[in-house]
Parts: sequence; C-alpha cells; structure tokens
Amino acid sequence: MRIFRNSCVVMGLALLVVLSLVAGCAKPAPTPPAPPTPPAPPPPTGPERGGILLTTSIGDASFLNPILSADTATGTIVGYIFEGLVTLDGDVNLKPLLAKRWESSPDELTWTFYLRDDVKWHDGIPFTSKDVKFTYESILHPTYTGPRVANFNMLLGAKAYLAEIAAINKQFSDKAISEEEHKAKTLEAYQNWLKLEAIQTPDAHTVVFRLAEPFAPFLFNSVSLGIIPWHILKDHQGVAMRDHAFSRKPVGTGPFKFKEWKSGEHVAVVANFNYWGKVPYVDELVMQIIPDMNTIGVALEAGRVDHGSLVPEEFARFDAMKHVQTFEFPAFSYTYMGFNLTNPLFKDKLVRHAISHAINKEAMVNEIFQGHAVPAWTHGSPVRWDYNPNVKQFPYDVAKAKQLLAEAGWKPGPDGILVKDGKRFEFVLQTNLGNKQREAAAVVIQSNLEEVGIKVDVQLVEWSTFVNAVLLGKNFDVCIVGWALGADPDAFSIWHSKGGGFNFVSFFNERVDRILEQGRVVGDLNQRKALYQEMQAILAEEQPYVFLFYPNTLVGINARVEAPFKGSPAHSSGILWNAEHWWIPEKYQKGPILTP
Amino acid sequence: MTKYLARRLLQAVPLLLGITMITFLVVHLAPGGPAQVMISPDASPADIARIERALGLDRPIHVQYVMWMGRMLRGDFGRSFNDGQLVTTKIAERLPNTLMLTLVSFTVALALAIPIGIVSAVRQYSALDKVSTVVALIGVSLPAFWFGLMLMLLFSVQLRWLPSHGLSTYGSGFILGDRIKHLILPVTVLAYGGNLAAYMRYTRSSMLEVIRQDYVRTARSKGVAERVVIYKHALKNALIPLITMFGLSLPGFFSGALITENLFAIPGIGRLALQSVFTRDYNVIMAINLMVATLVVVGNLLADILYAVVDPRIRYD
Repeated sequence: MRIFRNSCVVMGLALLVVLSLVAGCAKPAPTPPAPPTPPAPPPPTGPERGGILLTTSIGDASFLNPILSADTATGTIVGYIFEGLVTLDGDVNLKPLLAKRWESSPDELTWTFYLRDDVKWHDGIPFTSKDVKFTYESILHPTYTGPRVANFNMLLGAKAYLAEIAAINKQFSDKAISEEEHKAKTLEAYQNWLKLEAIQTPDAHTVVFRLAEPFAPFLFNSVSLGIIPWHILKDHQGVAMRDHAFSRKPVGTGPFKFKEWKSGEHVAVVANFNYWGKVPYVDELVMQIIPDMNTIGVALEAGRVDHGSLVPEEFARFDAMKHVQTFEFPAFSYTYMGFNLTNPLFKDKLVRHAISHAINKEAMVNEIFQGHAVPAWTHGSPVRWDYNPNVKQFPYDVAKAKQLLAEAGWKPGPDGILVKDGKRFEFVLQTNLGNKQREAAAVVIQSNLEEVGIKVDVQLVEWSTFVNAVLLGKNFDVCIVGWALGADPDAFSIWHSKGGGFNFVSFFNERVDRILEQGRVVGDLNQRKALYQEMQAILAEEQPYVFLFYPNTLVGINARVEAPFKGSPAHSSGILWNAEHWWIPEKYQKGPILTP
Repeated sequence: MTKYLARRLLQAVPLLLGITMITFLVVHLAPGGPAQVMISPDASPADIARIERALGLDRPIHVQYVMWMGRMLRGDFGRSFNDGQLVTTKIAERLPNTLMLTLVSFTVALALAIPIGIVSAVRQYSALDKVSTVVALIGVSLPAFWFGLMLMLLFSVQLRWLPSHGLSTYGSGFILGDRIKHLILPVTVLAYGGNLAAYMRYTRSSMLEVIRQDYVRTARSKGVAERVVIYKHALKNALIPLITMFGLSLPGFFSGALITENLFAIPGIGRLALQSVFTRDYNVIMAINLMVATLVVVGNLLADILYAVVDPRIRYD
C-alpha cells in the first residue's frame, strides 16, 4: 500500500518516494481539429526485434536501488534492471523469478528458496545465495535509509535488535554516549543480530529464512524485492550505500541493463542479451521525464513518445486517433473522504451513514472523470482477489440522509444549517493542493452536504504539509486522500487501532484489530480471503470513510507498438510492467520515433 | 572606487549570512522532512527516527545550521536527500540548460526590444508605436503555460515542424540544428512573455526622456544628422536605466524559468528548486537559495559599477 495522490500542477512530487503519481490535471484542454492521420499499420505477423521504446514518466527516478526506493518512477526502471526471488504476473498472482521454487515449514517460520543457477549479474559475475542474504540483511543495517524495514522485521531476532537500536539512538539523543560510542554500539548490535543467522545459505543456490513469527505477506511484500549484488556493495551498507555511485549506475540481473540517466531528462535501459529468461524485443527503452500532464498528451499526439498517461477529459479524443491505442484499466487505488472519529460530530454512526447517503458518487464519476472511474463502497480493490462485492452500500438518497440526521437529533436551524444542543453542523474539509480531481470532489461534497443542512468549508493544503501536519498530526475534521494498494491485502497500518501508523481517522473496532492480526499470520489464501472480506463488510457498515471512487488508469500508446495485454492488466506497477514483451515491427523501427 | 567596492562586498557578508539563517530556519520548520518524504504506510515512527539519526537530521536546528555552514565554507554542500547525488553536481548538471534558455531568450528579447523601443519613442503615437504597445501588452498578459501549450499544439501537433519537449532528440547526441529546433518554442514563450515587453517599454520611455534633453536639442540645432543624434547622442544615455534592469535580471538567469522549464520538460534550476521545496530536500534548497541570493547582491553591485562606466557624471568615492 502506498499513500496515493494525483497531481499535475506540481512537478517533481513523484519524488515524494512511495507516492504514486498516476493521473493529472482536470484543466479543460483545448481540442484542435484532429491532425491528418495516415492509416493504422497493418496487422503484425509476429514479434520482431529492435527499435527504441520511448515511455514517459511525470517524475524523475530517485535511487536506482530496489532497497532504497519505493516511488513509481524508480520502481518501473528498477523492475527492469533488478529481480526478486518471486514476482507477480498480470493477474497479480505469484510467479517464480530468481527462485525456481520454495517451500515453508508447517509452522510457516522457515522458508526455503531454491535459486536458479543460470543467472549472471550484468557485469558477468554469477548470482548466488550470498547476494540474497546480503540484500535483505542490508535492510536491517543500523544506518539503512530506505523504506523497507517493515517487510523484514519479522526475521528471527529482528524486532529485539531494532528495539536495541532505538534504545542506543535514545542514549545518543540524551547525550549519554558520544557519536563514536553510538556508532560502535549500533554496529555491535548489528553484528550480534547477524550472528543469529536469520538468513542462512546452506549452498550457493539455496536460501533459508527463519522468521520469529508467521508473516503471511512474506511472499508478496518481502522476497519480491529486487536483489542487489554483494560483490559490488559488500563494503557499502547503510548510509554508505545511499551515497554510493551504484544508485546512479546500477547492475542487476534483469532483462534490461542500465544505459544512462540524465537527471530530469530521461533514464535509458538496453536489452540484456545474456538474460537467463526471454530477451526483450526492443533494443532500448527510454523513460522520458515530462513533469506536465498536458505536455505528455501533446508529445503522444505529436508522435514524439510511444507511451503516456492520459487525463479523463482527453481520453475520448485520444481514443478517436488512429495513431494512438488507448487502454483503460482499473487501478489498485481508491479515493476516500475520512472522518476524524475523535471529533464529536462524527462519533455517531447514523451521522456517518447519513453523510454517505448525501454524497453523489455517480455524479463525481461522471463529471470529474467522464465515467473513467468506479464508485467505491469499502476498502480494497474490485480487481484484487480478496475483494468482497457484497458489502453494504449507501447509494445517493437525500431524503434518507435527512431522515437519518433527524433520527440522530439534528434539526434545521433558522438559516437551514442543522443544529443539535446549540451546536451547528459545520466542519472543514481538507485535501491536497494541486490535485484537480480531489479539489473537484471537495466542491461536489460541499454542495451535496449543503442540501442536507451541513456547512462545509474547503481548505487546500500543500502535500507535504498535508501529510505531516494535517494527516499524521490528526489535525483535521474531514480529509480527502487516497490509498494505492499493494498486491497483498494486509492493511494493518491503515486500520489497526494500535499498530496503525496511518490510521489517521482513529478508527477502532475490536474485530477488525483481530482480523488484521490474524491476516498476517494465517498462511492459507482462502482463510485470509474470508478474513479480509469480513473486514471489508465491517468497514462498509462502520463508514469511517466515505469510500468515494477508484479512478481508472488511462494510458495511450503509439500504434507502432505491439503491447501484448490480455484484457485489463491489473498490476500495481502499471501498464509498463511487462515491457520486455513489447515489440515494434521492423518497418516502424527507423528513427527514434515514428508517427504511423 | 576600490574602497567603495570593498565596502559593498563587506556589507554583503552579513546580508548573505542572514539570508542563509532565515532560509535554513524556514525550511526546517516547514512540516515534514526528508525522512517523512520516504513515508510508507508500513513505516513506524521508529523507522523515521532511525533514518533521521542516520542522516544527522535528529540534531537541534542550530547545530545542524553550524554544521551546514562549516561544510559549506569548505565547498561541501552535501548530498540531495532525494537521490544521493552531490548538490554541486546536481546544480552543475542543470545550470547550463537554464543559462542557455534564459540567455538566449534574453538576447532575442533585447535584439527586438531595443530597436522597436527606439522607433516607438522617435515616432511617438504613430501607428507603429501603438501596434507595438498592444503587442507588448498582450505578451506580458499571456500566461506562460497557456501560451506555451498553444504553441505546442500548433507547431508540434498540427504542423509537426517542431519537437514538443526536451532539449534534444533522444539518441541523436548534440546536433546544433536539433538543439535550435528544441529551443524555438520555449525561447519564444520566455522572450515574448517576459523580457521583450518590459525592455521595449523601458527603452521607449527612457528614450522619450532623453530626446527632450538640452544636449539633444543642441546637437540637432548645430545641424547633426537625425540618425546620428538618435543613435549616438541619445541612445547611449537612454541605455543607462536598462543597465539597472540588466543587473536586476542577473539572478533570474540562474534561478531559471519555472513554468517554461516545467511545461517543456527542460531540466533546469527552476524545476529543481521547486521540486526540492516540495520534497524538503534541505541541502538543495539551501544551495540554490545561496546561489540566487549571492547573484542578487552581485547583480546590484554590477549595475552600480556599470553606471559609473556608462555615465562619467556618476562617481563612487
């Protein structure tokens, strides 16, 4: 899961690591008459090798090192260069990658992975179990600066070790120990943890993980992380890895090799002809960094790039173009309006139900997204295996909303605004500045709620301030934000009343807490599915959020590109996840770009 | 003059020091920081605390400031928190792009603005004066993002004459013709929407003032050709206010043109600066801020010196 935001006005925000930038402006773009378009290319005969595929990204990459970064732009490139032990296919199912197969002990505390023996790093050195051990151990180094600790803190002894590090850090901030002592102590603690051998390598192609507790998302979230080479980085763990030139000139095992990265301009990768698996068809893939969604549209229309995200208003226009193929698929993210449940206004469930009935989601989908979105009713994604389609829904019904508010004791005052015990029903609705779709949703909600006698003030806040001061600081009445979900349904940090660092709304439900705890431990997929479906039903009934909509991902691709999708690729890393299978017919390969 | 220069330079030191202090304080007080930017729903406050410890961001602000100052004086501006690149490398990579864009558009703007300004002044209230005034006002009023987008739609999408974005065609290396093609649209936006109108109007008003001076009348009355009067006697004096303008424009050449850089996907300083503010990339913000502040000081000083060079009546003692 990721905190999810859309933005177009503000560039470079994609560098806010982890925050996926998907779609953009709702600015009405001018619609000039369609340019003269020659006929579309004839049907292909079969995959052909060669050509340069020009993709686009709104944000630049950060660290081209899978353990140091989690943002979308970097993730796309890192996914071509590096490989994890397992991966996900287009339907979000697990698939072996660097591991041929794996098994777990009956108690799910020991996981054994059998690695491929035909894999070489891009510099020719063979890939072994040493690399795997090194990669995942580096994540627990005391000065590690990346965002992946939570995926590995269930390793044997890791939690105790991390607590020890936190204690040593505290001693330092209390000035009880010097900088040198601090460094020595933390490194010693790390060495002691390494001695526990939570990750063992019985031979060059076998890795054994020993966990302190069962962790169901282990396959999806932990060992899917890309492996980095021990032979290059072995003396550079922690902060030294962050400062190492490797992140700007990475060496991996994947289907593409790194070529060049010009900051703010492009990142280029080339086909790895020594790849152990299927060699990519295109010679080169270049991700151009274009921070403005309008410019991406222009470049795609002008035939200057092969791929670009589209804004909903433009989709129909691009759909009509002969030289652009359009794709629409459900995304793994949803937008919601969250109530601060510590605010007395929202403590009453009837009131939350009433507000849900008062909000017209259909109108938002049609007017803000021109129909390119799906109304949401609970937490989760309709295209993920754990989704519960039978939860309680709160359709748009003004009369019902008014009736529920009256039942809750709210009576219209002299100016039409509801009053209860002398208190008027008014609150501030906050969302992040620059996200046109959320800004528009806020305005719709404002007018919807005015109809039932609730006064809403809308406030727009700069993103970083919004996240840190408003959300994490819990300084809000009601907020509009979104979640980008991962392949695993674990939502502990969002809904758990204690461990949930992202439970901004202060939701507390005994049963949901238990489900989230069990969901991490139970290995059986069907059992987990049942648990999470129950949670989704409770969340729909409790309405801690008004779940608003799932914006569809809209993409345009130049007609020269043959992109083998089956239906709707529901993949959290977007449409480019399998670019190694894309190809360009030979007659369209001349020149860096072609307009059919 | 030397004494004056020395005094001005000495005055600049506390000024710059104050600017760095205020900037440092403000950026650190803004909610969030580099560690929070890496925020993921799985990160705990302990994770953030550990990253802050590793990066030295857990120290009190004044300690961090003194450390930053110490490193800065040794020429070490640190690394970007976003991607680990040295801040100096990051700026050096982008500065040439920004300078190319701003200087070319400035030159284009001046090359058009001064002659048009002179003609409008000499033939005040003529049709040409009125047309150029209207055209100039339209230029100033056009929002850059809209104007740029319109140019793109016309020249990249409809006519397909010019590329839509970037500074070069991928894979072609540096080719002068290709570079010029890429620069035409952004330079047009910057020159027409920015400097052109301003410099034209300044030239016009300054020229109008000068041609009413006694020495111009004297030149005319002794029978000097009108052309010589305008270009030799009047123009040189009319340019003095433009020098101030130039001095004040200097920091802008380096700080870049944010909207244009963004729209045309040109990796320049303006884009870097804004991005670093949004991602709380402290080291980058501080370096760019110090650079621009220094240029403001230098630009003002330069304008004052050039005054004395152009106008012998002005002396600094």
